Amino acid sequence: MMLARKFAVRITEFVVRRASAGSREWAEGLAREVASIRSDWAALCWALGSLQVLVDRRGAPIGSLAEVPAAAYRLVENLRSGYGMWYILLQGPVFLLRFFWEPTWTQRCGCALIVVGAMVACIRLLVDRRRLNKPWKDDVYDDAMACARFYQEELERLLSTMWVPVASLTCYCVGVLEVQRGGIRAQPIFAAILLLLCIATVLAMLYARRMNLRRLDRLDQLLAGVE
Amino acid sequence: MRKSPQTTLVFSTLLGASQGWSYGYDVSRNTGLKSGTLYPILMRLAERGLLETTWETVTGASGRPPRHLYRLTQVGLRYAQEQVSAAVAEAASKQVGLPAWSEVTG
Repeated sequence: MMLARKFAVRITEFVVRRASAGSREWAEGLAREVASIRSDWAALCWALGSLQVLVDRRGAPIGSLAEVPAAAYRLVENLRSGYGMWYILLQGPVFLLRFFWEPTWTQRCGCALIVVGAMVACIRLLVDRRRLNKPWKDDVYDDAMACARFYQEELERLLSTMWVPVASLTCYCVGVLEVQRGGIRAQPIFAAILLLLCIATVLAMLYARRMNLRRLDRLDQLLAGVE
Repeated sequence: MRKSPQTTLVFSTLLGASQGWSYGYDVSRNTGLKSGTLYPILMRLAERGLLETTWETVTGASGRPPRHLYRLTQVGLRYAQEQVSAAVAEAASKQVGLPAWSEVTG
């Protein structure tokens, strides 16, 4: 057996092992096709595609209404925790003080941008926590239908306000670059690392957005099935 | 349901084999879609009740394991026909708007 085919078989076996309960049958179906593909390289391409399916399907496994409360609980806890926005938020006061010490206007602009990013993060966290910390929210998990509607609203809100963390992160990153002594040219490696981190975060956000859209789609189906 | 050109391609391929079941790899070859694009579409169609799946009952040649098979349901068949007809009509209307080749070349 050629190395490419062996690799293809390994990949598809991995995908079957890692597939969520709802998509295991599909992963198995994908894996078994490999044996019927004559070209080894085509088999490898097929297997690599199955990895894409795995990534696409793992994040949104709402099989039935009974699974909605757990998914809603996870979302609410994540929103309450504020993801990584605390990190930006906590840097706000430090850079507010540095604003008055920095010698150049470029560095002051950098500090101001970080403070703006921190303020945006702060407003977002406060709004989310105020909304989600209401005591009646804890009862919502008892009724699957009410929970599904609540989850739907939260997902829609999350999607429509996605620009908030993006704006906060952009302000923060541009600010950190500006605040470096000597600008980007003086510390190109730092700037490159920051840029890579930024790209990774934006990609993660886009992936989360795609998963949330799929969850909404699935919720629509589940609610339409009940009504 | 998202009406992407890829979904329409899958529909037209499955309609071509409406009498029987199709293998995933055959659908992929006929549509030119990679597995990473094709399977999410098939999964969405199945979730919507437009596609049914089964496992091959007879083991293939040289002890090959049974493969997964796909077929449009009755609802899926109607929906697919509507989608493909709409896509064909849209393509035709676009072509009508184009000037003839002789007009272009003068």
